[in-house]
Amino acid sequence: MNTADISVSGMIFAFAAVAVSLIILTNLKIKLRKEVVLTFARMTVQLLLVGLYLQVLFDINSPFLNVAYIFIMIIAADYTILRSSGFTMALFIYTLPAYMISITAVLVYYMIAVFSPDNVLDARYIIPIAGMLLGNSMTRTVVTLERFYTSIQREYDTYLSYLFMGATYKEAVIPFFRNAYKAGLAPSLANYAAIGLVSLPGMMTGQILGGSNPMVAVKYQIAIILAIFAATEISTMLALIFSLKKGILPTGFLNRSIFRKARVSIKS
Amino acid sequence: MAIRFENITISFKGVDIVTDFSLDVKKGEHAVLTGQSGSGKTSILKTLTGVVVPEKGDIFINGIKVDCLSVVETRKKICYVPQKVVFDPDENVRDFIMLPFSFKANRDIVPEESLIKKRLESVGLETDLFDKMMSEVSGGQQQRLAIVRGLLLKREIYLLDEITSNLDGTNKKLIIDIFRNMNDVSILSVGHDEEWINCATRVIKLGKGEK
Repeated sequence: MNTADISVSGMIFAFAAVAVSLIILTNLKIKLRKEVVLTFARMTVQLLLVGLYLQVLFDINSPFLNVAYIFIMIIAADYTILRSSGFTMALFIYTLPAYMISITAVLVYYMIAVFSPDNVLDARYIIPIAGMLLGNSMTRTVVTLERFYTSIQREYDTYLSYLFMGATYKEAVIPFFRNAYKAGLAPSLANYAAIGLVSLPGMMTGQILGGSNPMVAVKYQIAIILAIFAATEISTMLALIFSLKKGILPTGFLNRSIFRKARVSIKS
Repeated sequence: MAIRFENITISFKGVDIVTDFSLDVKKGEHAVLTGQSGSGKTSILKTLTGVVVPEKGDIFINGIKVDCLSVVETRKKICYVPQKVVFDPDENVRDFIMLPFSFKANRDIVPEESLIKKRLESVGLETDLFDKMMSEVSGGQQQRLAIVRGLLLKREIYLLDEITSNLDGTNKKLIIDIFRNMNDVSILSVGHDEEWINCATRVIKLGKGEK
């Protein structure tokens, strides 16, 4: 069964969501209208390009090209998400290996042990799955990193008191590490708990719309959620550990140069 | 010489708050920095921890120059007790006192409970405080607990920043007596209180931007 195509006029109507956001931002006098328009314009162009590229990629279906595409996706995503975070690009080379390791490890494990297609490097499987792992784990990782470093900054006296009592910086960051990790995990768990009750996941919906048996779609969805969970936990943990090299100076003090100045301003 | 400041200048936002300051504090000495607010007393104290870096001049601890390479090591010889006690709102008194002994550097000097109790009594605290939350005890008790914790660390150098500010007369006297009798350490403190100043072996009065 083929999915019904969306007409050009249908796609134009879909963009009504942006108009709603622009009206709200205008009324609230929040200077983010340009960002909203640019974000969705960029998303549309990116997805159209991805659609074209995926078509070619699926036709060629070369394992080398598929893997290369995933790595490029990781690099581009790391760059994009750091740019929109409160950090400078100084953390880029520390978060990148965290994503590379977590996405590769989880992808290899799930492709071999769980999905087990005839060709584990089949573009139809690894590219969309890697994309989902990446998209979900990156947001949580950056939010946890922001929470970790801003909590050290906010409670700097407490952090310093640990150093002055003989703690190494690795010992002194542990309570902040624990709190940031815990604070990031709680909303993720709440989201997972709501799946099926208050939300239907996009992939499952897509599969059902594409004509899959609902139970097959559900099994895929469960496996994907668990893979996302694993990738997110690993990338968050590794990014926190790797980032310490840059975020904490050899003297144990916080390296404030990793923070970007606030860019969002609200009209008074 | 335990502590030596050689012609240090400390600036904040381009303004010199301490200029050309020199001081030697030997083992067994207690030097107190006093003077008006903004004269750089606490900043001088903090240069020894590395938090404040002087614009000019050198600082030595036991002959080792304090810089970004040595500060992690020299910090291990120091106990810094700030004016404002910092603690985790979820920790009780026992956790607060034992916290530094969970760090690798202090695992060889974990105190026995009898010593902790003796120290608590010496600063006028009840030993049944152990299970109370830190947020439940008074500011004066928190201050004395921070002092007890510092004493249990048995450091060579004590940096004390207005540690008697929250204490009443009797408890202040207990603390003063403890530090007056510590002859095998070097103490550099900040204080305004007359009794505290009188217990020091040297008094250094600072003015704004002056020595």
